[in-house]
Parts: sequence; C-alpha cells; structure tokens
Amino acid sequence: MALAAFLGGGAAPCGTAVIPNGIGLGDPAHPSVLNPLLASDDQNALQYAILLYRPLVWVGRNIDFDQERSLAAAVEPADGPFSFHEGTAANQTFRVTLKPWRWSDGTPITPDDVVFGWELIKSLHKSGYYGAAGQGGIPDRVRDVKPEGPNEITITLKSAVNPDWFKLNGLSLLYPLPRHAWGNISAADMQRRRLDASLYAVTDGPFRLVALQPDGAVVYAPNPLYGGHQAAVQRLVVVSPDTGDAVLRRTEAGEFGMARVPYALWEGLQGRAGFRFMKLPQPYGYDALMFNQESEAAPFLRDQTVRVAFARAADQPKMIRLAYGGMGIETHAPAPADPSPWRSPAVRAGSATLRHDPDAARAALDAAGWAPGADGVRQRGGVKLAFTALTYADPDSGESRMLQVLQEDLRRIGVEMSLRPMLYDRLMDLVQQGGARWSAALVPITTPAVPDGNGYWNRGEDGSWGLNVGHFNDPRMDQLIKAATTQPGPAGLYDYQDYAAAQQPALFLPQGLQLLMVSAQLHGVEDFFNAMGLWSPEYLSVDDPVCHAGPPGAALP
Amino acid sequence: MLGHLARRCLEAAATLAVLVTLTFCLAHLAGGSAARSILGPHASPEALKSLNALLHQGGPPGAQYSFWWNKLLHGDLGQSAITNEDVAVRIGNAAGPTLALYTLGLGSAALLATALGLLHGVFYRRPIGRVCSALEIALYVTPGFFIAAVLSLVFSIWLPVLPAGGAGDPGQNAADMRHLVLPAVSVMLLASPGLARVFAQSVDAELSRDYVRTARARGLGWLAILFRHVMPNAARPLVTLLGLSLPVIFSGDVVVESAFDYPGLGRLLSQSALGHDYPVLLGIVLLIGVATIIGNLAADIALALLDPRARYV
Repeated sequence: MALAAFLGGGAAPCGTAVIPNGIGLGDPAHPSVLNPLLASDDQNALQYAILLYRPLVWVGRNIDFDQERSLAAAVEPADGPFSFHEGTAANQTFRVTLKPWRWSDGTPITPDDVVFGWELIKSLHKSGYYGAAGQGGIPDRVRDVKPEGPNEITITLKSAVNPDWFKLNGLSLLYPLPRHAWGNISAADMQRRRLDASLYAVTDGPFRLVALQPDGAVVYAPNPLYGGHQAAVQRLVVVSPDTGDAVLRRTEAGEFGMARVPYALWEGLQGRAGFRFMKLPQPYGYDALMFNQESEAAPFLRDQTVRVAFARAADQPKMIRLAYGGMGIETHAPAPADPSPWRSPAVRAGSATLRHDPDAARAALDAAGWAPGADGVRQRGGVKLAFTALTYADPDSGESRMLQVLQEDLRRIGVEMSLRPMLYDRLMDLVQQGGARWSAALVPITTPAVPDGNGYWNRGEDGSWGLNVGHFNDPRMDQLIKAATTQPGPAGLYDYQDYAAAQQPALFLPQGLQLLMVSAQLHGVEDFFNAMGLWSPEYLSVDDPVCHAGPPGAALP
Repeated sequence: MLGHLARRCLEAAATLAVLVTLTFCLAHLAGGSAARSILGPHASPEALKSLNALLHQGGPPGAQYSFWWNKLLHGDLGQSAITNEDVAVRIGNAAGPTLALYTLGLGSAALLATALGLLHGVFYRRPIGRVCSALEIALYVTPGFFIAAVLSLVFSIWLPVLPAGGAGDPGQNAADMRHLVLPAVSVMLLASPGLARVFAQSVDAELSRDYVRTARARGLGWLAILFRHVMPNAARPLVTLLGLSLPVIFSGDVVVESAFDYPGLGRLLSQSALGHDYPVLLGIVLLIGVATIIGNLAADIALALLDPRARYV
C-alpha cells in the first residue's frame, strides 16, 4: 500500500487544467486577494478574482465590448446614439441592461447588486484601498448609480464623457457583488479577509472557489449556475511558482498546461513532441523610460530637443532583435501595439521623426549647443549629458538587454547612461516619493482598454500627479488628455497620442511578444486569452484518457 | 549546572533579540511595503499609506518594531501582511514540508557522508582516496540550482518517473512522497561532500593514533577496530557539523525549494522578504534562531555522550 501510494498517490482528478498565474502578463504572482475590486489595479491578482466575478463590461480580444462574456446585455448612452467612427455626442448618462444571470446560490443578480458594488468602490476609495482610482472616471467622475427596474441601471456622470472611453475603461471596473452575502461587511474587513475562502462562497463567474492551498495554488470548479459559456474542465488549478524557470520545467514534465518560453529558448524548443507553440501579443501596454522633470542631476531631461534626440538614437529594431529574438513591435508613442483599434493613424504608420537616426540625433544636439567633451560625453555650460537610469529588470531579462542596447546607442551620440538595478517595489517607492533624487526609471505601463494617458502624462485638475512620476507638466498635454476622455470619437485620443509622441515625456520602448508552450492535451487556448491579460478558462478543455465525463461541478471535494 | 543552563538561556535570548533586530532593520532598509504587493503596481502614495496603516507598516520603524515585540511577548506572532493568515499557521503549513524534506535529505547526506568519508579516510593517500576526494570537491562546487535542474531534466523530462516540483500534485492538498525524492536527493548531494571530507580527515587522523596500532598488535580484526574504535572517535566533528546543520531542517534552503517549487520554509522566507511580509519574515528568522540554539545544544550533548572527556562547562 505504501509503495502504491508512493508510486501513484495523489493524481489530479480527470479533466483538470493546471495553469500558472501570470500567463498573458508576465511572471507569476502568489494570490493576494480574490475580490475583484480590491484586485482592481493588479492584473496578476485579477486573474484569480475574475474567475469568480464578472464585470459589467468585459473587454474582448479586439479591445472592444465583448457582449458574450459581459454581465451587461447592452450599454446605451442615454443622451443619444454614438459609434466609435461616427462619434456623435459625448454622453453624461448611460443605461446598462443586465443579463438575467444568477449568483451561484441561485439568487438573481439584480441592479441592487451593481449598486452595492459601486458603494463598495466608493467606500474602498474613501478608505484608500482602491488601487484603480481614476481609471475610466471611477469613482470621482460618477455622480450616481441607480437601479431602474428589474434589470436596468442608470449611471450618471458629473459631466459629459467620451462614451467609448467610459464604456471600456470605466464600466469594466464595475462589478455586481452579492449584497445578500456581503452586505454587512465593511471595506476594512473586506481588506482583512481578502484571502478568506469562506468569504467567496457566492459567485457569478464561470467558476466557484474550491480551495486556497498553503502552497499558493487556488483550486476552482465550474459554477453550474454561471449564465455564460459553461466550463468544460472538471477542475481548474491556478498555481504560482516562484520563477518562470520552474513553470517551464514543470510544464515540460507534464504537470502544468502551459508556460511562457524565454526568447533564448524559443527556437530550441520548437518541435518538442506533445506541445504546440503560440505567440501572443505583448501585454497591453508598453515600457517607458520615465524622465524626471525635477531631476537636479539631469536638468537637460526637461528639454524636448534632448528627449527627442534620445528617441532618434534608440535603435528599436536592434533592441527587438537582441532582446526579444525579433518578436516585438516598435513603440514611439504611449499607445499599445496591436491588437488595438485605439492607435492614431500617425502612430500606426510609424513616425518618421522618431525612427532610428543617430546622425539626426547628433545634429540636433550639436545645434542645441551640446558639444562632445574629451571623454566623448557631450556637455554644455558645465553640465554633462549623463544620467542614471533605475531599472527593476532581472539581468537576464529582455528588458535588461534592451536597456543595454539603449546604453550603447546613447553612447554613440555622446550621452552616458548608467544603469542601477533595484527591486521593483523599491524603484516605485523612490520614483513616487523621491522628488529630485532620481533622473530616469524604467517603468512598465499597463494601460486600460482606451489608452487615454490619464494619470501618466498629465496633472490632475486637483493638482495631483497620480502616476505621472516624472512630473511632466504641460498644459497642452493636460488639455489633450482631458479631450480624449470627454470628446466623442477617437479624435481627441489620436491628438493626445500624436502630441505625446512629439514631446517624448518618456522614452517609449517596445515590449516583446509573449511566447507560449502549451500542452497538446489542452484546447481552447486561443479563446482563453485576451490582450488585457484577463482569462476565460471556461473555454479550456483537456484531453484526459482516463477521464470519466461527468456534469461540470459535480462530485468534487 | 543550573547556573550554566541559566546563562545559556540568557545568551540565547540575547542572541535572538539581536538577530531579530538586525533582520527588522535590514528589511526596512531595503524599502518597499506589503501594501504595494497587495494594491498593485499603480497604487497611489495615498492608497499605499492607508493600507500600510491598516497593516501596521506605515508608522515610524521604531513604532513598528515596538508593536511587533509587544505582540511577541504576548505569544502572538501576528498576521501575514499579504494573506492576513496567522503567522504561526503560515509558518506551520510550510514547516511540515521542510521538516520532511530536510530530515530525509540530511539523514541521507549523513549516511552518504559516513560511507564516502570512511572509504576516503581509510584509503586517504591511495588512488581510491583521491577519487573520493575529487568526487567530494566536484559535488561541493556544483551549484544547487544546477543539481536541481539536471535532476529534473533527467528524471522528470527525459525519463518521466518523478515529478519536477511541488509537494503534491497541483490542486491536491496532500503531500506525495514522489515529490520528495528529487529535492531530497539535491539536499543530499549538496550537504554530503563537506561532511564527507571532514569525516575522512578525522578517520585518517584516528587511524594513525597509537591505540589503533596497539589494537592491531593485540590481534583485533581490522573491521572491529574501524567500527568499534575509530568511527566513534572520528565521528565527533561530524556530529558537530550535523548539529550546526539542524537549523537548515527548520529554515529550509531557498535555492532547492525555489528550484523545485517546493512549498517549504525556504521558499516562504524568500517570498516574505520579496513581498515585504515582515511579520512572516521575522517569525521565520525567530524560528531559525531558536533552531540554531537547539542545534548547538544538541551537538554539545551528543559530543558529551560520544566522548566522556568532554565537559559540559
């Protein structure tokens, strides 16, 4: 018996899909919260939460309103019709019609549950626990959320907004939550009980929670009362190994269903029996070398001429080739690459004034009076064109190699950039609170569906900087970002992108595609992903030769 | 005797206090906070400040330090800043797998070290001894992650007979002995060369002592001399080293546990440090400190049993 247990004990039940957290985003992260409102700004955490709770608006693979996976049957601006291309009117009032779905305990999902979710957002925001504050105007630009009848909600904003922007950026943050189960729990208790499994017994998503394991694995089973596409797997396990290497090794050993493949191993792994290989778009965002406009050590970063010269010196095709094995897309503006219908035509066509041209970069610096010194580093008025860039990246990561290429490129035009690695948390603390103590920092930026730049490149109307850690202070940029969120249609968004590309408040850098190795036994992977890194594992299925089919969710511990 | 014990206890308490204080200071010097791990990368400074206050990580370091000691003196290690689970429970959940792994791994290492060291020591200056020495050095210089990677490659991927990681199959909240094998073999291969070398030198030194020559002259058999006389004397430094290794049984090994994704204390220590989960980090450090003290004490007692000449002073 002991030998039998030793050799074959503990096998996973049939129809089990094991997926590492972080797929579609980056490295895995351990679960820290299962409430989607508390996970609101952390994509890794959302991957755990979104299996249990669905938002009003699900952003689809084409960065549009995915009606099938949304809780909202329809979202209509009440001030008049609109469309992305026609852009008729900004809207202040939106009418949302709910689908007749139910919670996992059979209770109908009602407009009051949406109101409850909204109240919780306000409460969390007031207590300071709401990480996504500001995105899509949530919560400060919303006046109220009112139930209208058995399945409709009216959302009124304080002023007219771009309806596409609010629908995708704002309504995707609104989740109906079970008032009948959570009505007596305060925001502080929600935060304290963020990983208390007993709190998450009532869900409306495609899965219900089975167990939170001490090793960090989260076990889900299909929710038989989910109103959308029923899960085909019998069980879903989301694991969170500490390293990508461990994920890859355990996938090769057949323990996990998929793993990200490092660029260096991509070619070597091709053709491995029992696996197929997929390329996904990069995570929805871009990398940016933020420039601190208040840096004392590098005051030249306030000069647009210098910043644009840096952009022209950067050989992005070489970065992509050396750092990402040729699998990436040039990025010169704060607009994620495809799939995205939200890139301006000029950005999509590529900017002639920002393409790699070190001669033009040198000429611009010469004209601005930056003359090469004896050591080859340019200087003007006793100030050298030298600065330190903070980076969080692992030394062997694509981002690190990209920065090393940039270092060489800048050196060729007489600019000295030194790199200082540190832990990501420390870097963010320093740039958010550091004042003049830093000059440049590599910051990964994940944008909402409509990449409005709000909070990154502008200053808030209340004077707050948000995530504009470089304190880029440009009234024209503020005005354009405001227009992107208030004017109907894409024109405002396009104008902001084109202006940001011209100004280069940061050096926009490419990200690499995501490379996946997927077990041949796992199907539905194409429908599982979207570019926002959000999952739909209800579309996954597993070929399991010893599986005895049963109804989803039945007879599972 | 009682006075000695009391003095040892006071020394131990002082050592623990210094250890915990150093860890607390170093962790705070590194910067960061659990709030960012929870709220996400784009959390505003205001949101971080609010949550840090809730987690008792927002105030001055002195206040946080006092808060933690106050709870500890009341027998409360506090709650994990990330999961809000009791630190004692969190550590307890990780301690079981670590105890299993390192008891098996270090036990195997002791056996391997004894066998290899004995062979090496008996033939110290002969070709066999040199081969043993080369093997010990080769194992000693090989990094842990490399050993782990090779074992996984051979036994999990090329010959898929053993799992590549975890403590049980994913989703199964039960340990599985098969998952212990590769990590335990890694621990054995990492721990045994140093032990074997020390034991070999000790065996060689004992074999040249007068009492061995006398025993041979009296006609005692070679094996009897080796196992009845030489080994107990030669084992003293080995026992000391094993006693000093005892903390590893409780602290785990970050490299091996991370390489095999093994949910033990080493992995938890690494996660807590990187996630700024200070209560868990300090709890584990306290555990390592206590284990070290117990390990030293156990080694002293074992030495006294092995060598009646050793005085417990």
